[in-house]
Amino acid sequence: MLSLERIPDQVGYLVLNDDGAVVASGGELENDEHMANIITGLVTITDKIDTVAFPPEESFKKISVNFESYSYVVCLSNKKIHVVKRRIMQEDTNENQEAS
Amino acid sequence: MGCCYSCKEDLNSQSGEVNERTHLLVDPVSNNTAIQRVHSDDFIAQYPNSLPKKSDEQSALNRILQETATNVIDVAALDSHNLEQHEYLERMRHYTQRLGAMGANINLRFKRSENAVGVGGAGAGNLLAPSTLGGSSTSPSGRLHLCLLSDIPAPEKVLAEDHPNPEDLAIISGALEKATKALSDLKVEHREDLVVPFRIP
Repeated sequence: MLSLERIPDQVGYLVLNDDGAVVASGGELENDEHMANIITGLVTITDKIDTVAFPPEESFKKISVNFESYSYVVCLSNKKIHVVKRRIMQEDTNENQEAS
Repeated sequence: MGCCYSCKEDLNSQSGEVNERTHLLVDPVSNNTAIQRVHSDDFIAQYPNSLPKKSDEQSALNRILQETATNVIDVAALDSHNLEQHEYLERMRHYTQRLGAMGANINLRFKRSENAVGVGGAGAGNLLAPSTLGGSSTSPSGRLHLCLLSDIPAPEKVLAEDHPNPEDLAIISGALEKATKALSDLKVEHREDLVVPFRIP
């Protein structure tokens, strides 16, 4: 998982399989089962997707969970959840969640 | 014990002695039957040859029996409705017909959602999955079958993108706060009576 380690400002990463088990990890998130459970819960939080609001051809590429000094970026690739914790240099961002 | 007790009581009441077991109140039921019995005995004694009374009693008993039978719901008799062979066939034909009419439509929707999400390998067993899951990803195993995220080829590229613009985040936070406030302010205003009396003639 060298590719994830090379992401700028990253302080930790997690790769989870579709059951939520940790496949690979590093940095601050090394073997962080607790965070793995939270992320899996976040990604599978819905049991019904409104196809009018979220048509299948326009689904999200990533979920960012932003805090003041760091953010978690989550994306799905090859049926695996990739999570990267990145430091934020700016100070004016509030705690919120943005999906893009 | 109960039998002994009642016998004793009977003896007591017959002999008319008053002791601690004597009832203060007279039992109305036994009283009534006693009167009845005495009355009918008297009647038969008076007219020993008149048989119609007996048939009257018989018919009255029959009437009571019939009334009871109509008033009682026999649960054991209410057996589950067994389907006959021709009913099975009829239903099967009906369902097949309906499925045939709907089948093309379902297949079309299934294929469309599968292509859009890019998850293959779902067999015919998942025929109804798109309609029940709202057209989302149909991977049957794992917890990712319902996920807002789409599977993308190069995760590191997406993950390495710049952080969202703080101004965008502020807009989203503001909109979210407004929505939360609007939802918390939502209330039902009641104008008319919830219970309305029907005009029953």
